[in-house]
Amino acid sequence: MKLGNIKKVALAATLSLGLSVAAQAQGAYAKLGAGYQFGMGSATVTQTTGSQIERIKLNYGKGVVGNLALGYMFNPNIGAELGFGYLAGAKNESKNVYGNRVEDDTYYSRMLLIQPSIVISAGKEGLNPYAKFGLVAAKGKLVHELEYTQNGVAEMEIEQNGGWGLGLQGALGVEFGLSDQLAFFSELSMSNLSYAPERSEVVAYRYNGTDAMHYLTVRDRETVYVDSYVDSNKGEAMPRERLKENVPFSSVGINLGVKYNF
Amino acid sequence: MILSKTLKAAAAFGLMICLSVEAPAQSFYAKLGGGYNFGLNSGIIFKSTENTHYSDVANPANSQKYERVNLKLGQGGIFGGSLGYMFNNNVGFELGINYLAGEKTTYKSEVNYTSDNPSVLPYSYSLTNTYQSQIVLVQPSLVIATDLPKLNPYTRIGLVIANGIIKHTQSFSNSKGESEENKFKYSGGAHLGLQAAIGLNFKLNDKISIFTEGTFNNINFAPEKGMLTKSTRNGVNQLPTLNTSQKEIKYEDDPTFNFPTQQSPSEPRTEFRQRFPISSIGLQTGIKYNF
Repeated sequence: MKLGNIKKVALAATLSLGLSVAAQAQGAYAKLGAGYQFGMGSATVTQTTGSQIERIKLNYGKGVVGNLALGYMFNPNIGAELGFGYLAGAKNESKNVYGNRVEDDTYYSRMLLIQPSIVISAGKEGLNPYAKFGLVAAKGKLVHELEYTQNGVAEMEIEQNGGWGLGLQGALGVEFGLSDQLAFFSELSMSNLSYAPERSEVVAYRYNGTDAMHYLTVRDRETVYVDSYVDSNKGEAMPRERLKENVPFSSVGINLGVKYNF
Repeated sequence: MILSKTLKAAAAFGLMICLSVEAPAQSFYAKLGGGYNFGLNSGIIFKSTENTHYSDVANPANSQKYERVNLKLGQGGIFGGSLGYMFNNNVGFELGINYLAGEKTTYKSEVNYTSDNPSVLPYSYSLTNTYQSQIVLVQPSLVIATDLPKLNPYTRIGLVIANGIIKHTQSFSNSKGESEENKFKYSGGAHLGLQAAIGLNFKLNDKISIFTEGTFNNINFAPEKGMLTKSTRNGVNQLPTLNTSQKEIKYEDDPTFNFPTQQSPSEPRTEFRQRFPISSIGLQTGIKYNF
């Protein structure tokens, strides 16, 4: 993703907005909330059952989110906010049946989200609408659990991680002031986060309940994702190389919580 | 679909926001402008280069290099206009229509065969793919503004509905001078996504102001059909020799295929629907006129 272009746009917007408004009422605040994100822009896997092939959507951006934010209003209308969130991604499941072999796959994400934003507020007392717009950076992992049954049961857990996901986020919200210090807020949020993991590793492998990790070579266990590679057999002691792929984490969600004005 | 839940939530929020603020001055306005979008969340395709050398005294030496290519169909020039209405000094509604003239993405894969045997001629071929989008974006938004006198920051958040085409050209050529070219067009359906912008209005007078916006669109283009519009081999038109299932594709979200497949040659063939990310971040500038 062209972070350079995003940085230029964000910096230009911030400078313009910061210079445009005289500094009147200022105030720091903190927000605590939670919500749910509906994934958008899914990746897909195929599901085979006998002679039937279907496609299953994987929504890694879907799941419960907890948020904490610190912000500062330069005046009643313009502010900046830095949010921290944790996405406990919902599970996506598929099942493949090939003759007497059955494979159950589960995919989900666990991500830490960092969200710096510019806040534009109507500056009203009571019910106050606002909007915010900014970047989202994410770090965490994608987990793939698989279990296949054929003359025995094999279980494997694979984690993909490394690198940062980047994207843009925005929200439309309403604050309901309870007192000078305290307010409830509700937000409709969206983001178009995309994440391309840098590596993949088999973290668990069991056969009929017994640990079988020692049967795997480094090449079996580890994969590094790169922008280009030459396909050559580097031996079993080196990780496999594959092309990096963007996994969509886009979402639209609803957040509720409490805001405290210092 | 998820977006039906989004629409309900957005409508509830919109109503709550409109009811939350007093309604003094109300006014219509129109905007005209243009800018450039940088593609985001690119689709990933790859190109490869393969070299194989046959030797009389050893096994063939083969190397294959794979490189990632970012397919940014949301990238390109954008221009259009919008009509808006401010319910009061802080909250309004805007309906924008923009045209995206997407930039071309071209990538080439190559294969080369050489040999120590002088009677075996070297052979190579290349396959070149080019993608380009031409999309109309309809963007209804809720506007939150600060109502400052001269330099007025605002944001807008809403939906984006995309309709248009993606063009795909595939060309083959080899060292024997043979060539093939196929052109595809993917189209159909209206595709929903989300968009937001943060901007600044600079008032020149009561009627006219200049605006600049940082925008972002989060949307996938998932065409309903594909059509082979041109097919030539060594310059000779091949379309009359192809049946309907070879020229037309019907994309479905959740088809279930049974093997062996029974695709009728006189019907478009069915394939899994493809999703092309046309998300973008952009800069636009233009003129706003208050009625």
